[in-house]
Amino acid sequence: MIVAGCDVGSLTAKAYIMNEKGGLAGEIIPVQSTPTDSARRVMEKALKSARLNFSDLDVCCSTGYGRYEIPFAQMNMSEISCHGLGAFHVDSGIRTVIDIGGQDCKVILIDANGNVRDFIMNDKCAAGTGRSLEILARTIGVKLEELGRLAVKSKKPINISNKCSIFMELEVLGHLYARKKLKHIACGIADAVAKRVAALAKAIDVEDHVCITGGVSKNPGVVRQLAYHMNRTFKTLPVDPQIIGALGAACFAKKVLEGGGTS
Amino acid sequence: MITAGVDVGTRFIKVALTDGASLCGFACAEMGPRFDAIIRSLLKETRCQAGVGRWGIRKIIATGFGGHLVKQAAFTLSEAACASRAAFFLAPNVRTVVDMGGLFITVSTLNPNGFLETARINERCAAGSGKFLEMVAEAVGVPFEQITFRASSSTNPYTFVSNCAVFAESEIISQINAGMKSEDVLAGTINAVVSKAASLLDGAGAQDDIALIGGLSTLPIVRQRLSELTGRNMLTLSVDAQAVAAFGASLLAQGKNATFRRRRKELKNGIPSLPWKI
Repeated sequence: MIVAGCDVGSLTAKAYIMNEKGGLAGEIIPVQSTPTDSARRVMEKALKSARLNFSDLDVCCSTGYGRYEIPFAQMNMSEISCHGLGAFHVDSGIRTVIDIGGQDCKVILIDANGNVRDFIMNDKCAAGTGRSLEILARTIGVKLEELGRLAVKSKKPINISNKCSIFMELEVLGHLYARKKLKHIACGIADAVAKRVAALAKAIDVEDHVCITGGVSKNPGVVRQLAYHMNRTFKTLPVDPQIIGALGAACFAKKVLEGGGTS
Repeated sequence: MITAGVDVGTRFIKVALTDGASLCGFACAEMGPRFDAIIRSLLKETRCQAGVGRWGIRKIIATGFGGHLVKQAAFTLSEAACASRAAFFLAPNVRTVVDMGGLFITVSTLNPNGFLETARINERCAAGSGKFLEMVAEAVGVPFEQITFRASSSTNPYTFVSNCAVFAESEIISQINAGMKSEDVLAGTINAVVSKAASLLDGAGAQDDIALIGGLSTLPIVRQRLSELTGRNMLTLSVDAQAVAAFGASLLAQGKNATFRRRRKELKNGIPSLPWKI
């Protein structure tokens, strides 16, 4: 039995292939011009590293923004269910998943079976998402990958009071003009994003254990500041946190293949 | 007495010089990291226009988002206070001033004596601001001067799905890729900008003419659409729309009641006809 999950998000596409024993391959690529194109490319890459062909896949499940436009997927699930089940699959002690993606941010509560109990989501405003982090990193001329490393060096983040990413950009420029140290500004940026996510998480009853998934979870600055604002520690996952969505989709495909349905 | 007002906005720095009776010098330059040098050169330029020497400027008041960055200033005042003072000076029966700038839309109301009553600003979110229009115009590759021309030829303005300025940018890129015309996208953006200003205007009481100022108001289509949407007349002040806040700051630098004293004197001599009694 070989199943696959394909998660096409706003900035990256992820694919994960697994059999009954465990994971075989997982790949992440930046999105191409269309979701269909991105899905095909990332799946081909994952199949290549697992030494398989498209015909070997029994069931493929899609998720993410572009989930309806993937021709080789037999089924699709919402990314909320996928992140919940994916995180539960790698660590069954997890009850809360915080997913910070490129264009949205969600806090998902799951029960003892890995099903979604409740969730809260922000997809209206760019503040508190990867997009905001990207804009602010560009403003101070730091690469997105370096921002996290720079941020953890500082213990005194600058305070960013605005809630809108574009106003934050202006405020950051003001600090840059005032010749503040770059590491403090970087930490302030991570802090601003973390504050928005923490404000979202406050509206829902967060239970232990908590984990962070999605692209922004790879930024140690945001993770540190979020832990500070939520006054909690996060469980580190044994797999790449960005691929959890695709992993969850593969788990759903496996459930369907075993005849258990999606619930 | 020559005084100056420096308005450091989010996109441009404006400097205005006044002798208490009229605008005698105005210069404007784009904001940048070397703002100190920019302010100095703008002050010099306006001094040349007004024909005053190096020490001719008696007092400087700063205003705008970056007002605190001006070292030469005696103190800083809010944009709303400065813009309303200038609007009152230029058109004494104005009760509502709408400032559509680079990032902020300010709606201020004045009482009949020309004092600021209320000011409402879009402080939470950049949706529908000048920056938003700029981002869209850049994405569709239309220069600022051509926005009016292009947007007015649209027959089917686009309605945005997302409310956030950041997401709207990626939304229009995918729309353009899908074959949407840039005219329709621009017209849709103008509608979003104008409806933001109109929603801020909802709370402002008086139902008379509006003094529309700020960089965005130089676009004729913005004036026209806002007038259509609110059903109110748009006044054009006799100075550059971008200069109004800086001019107001320079007028305020003249002294506590200098402008009012002058108005009262004019009233006594029966020069202008004012709608109220002093």
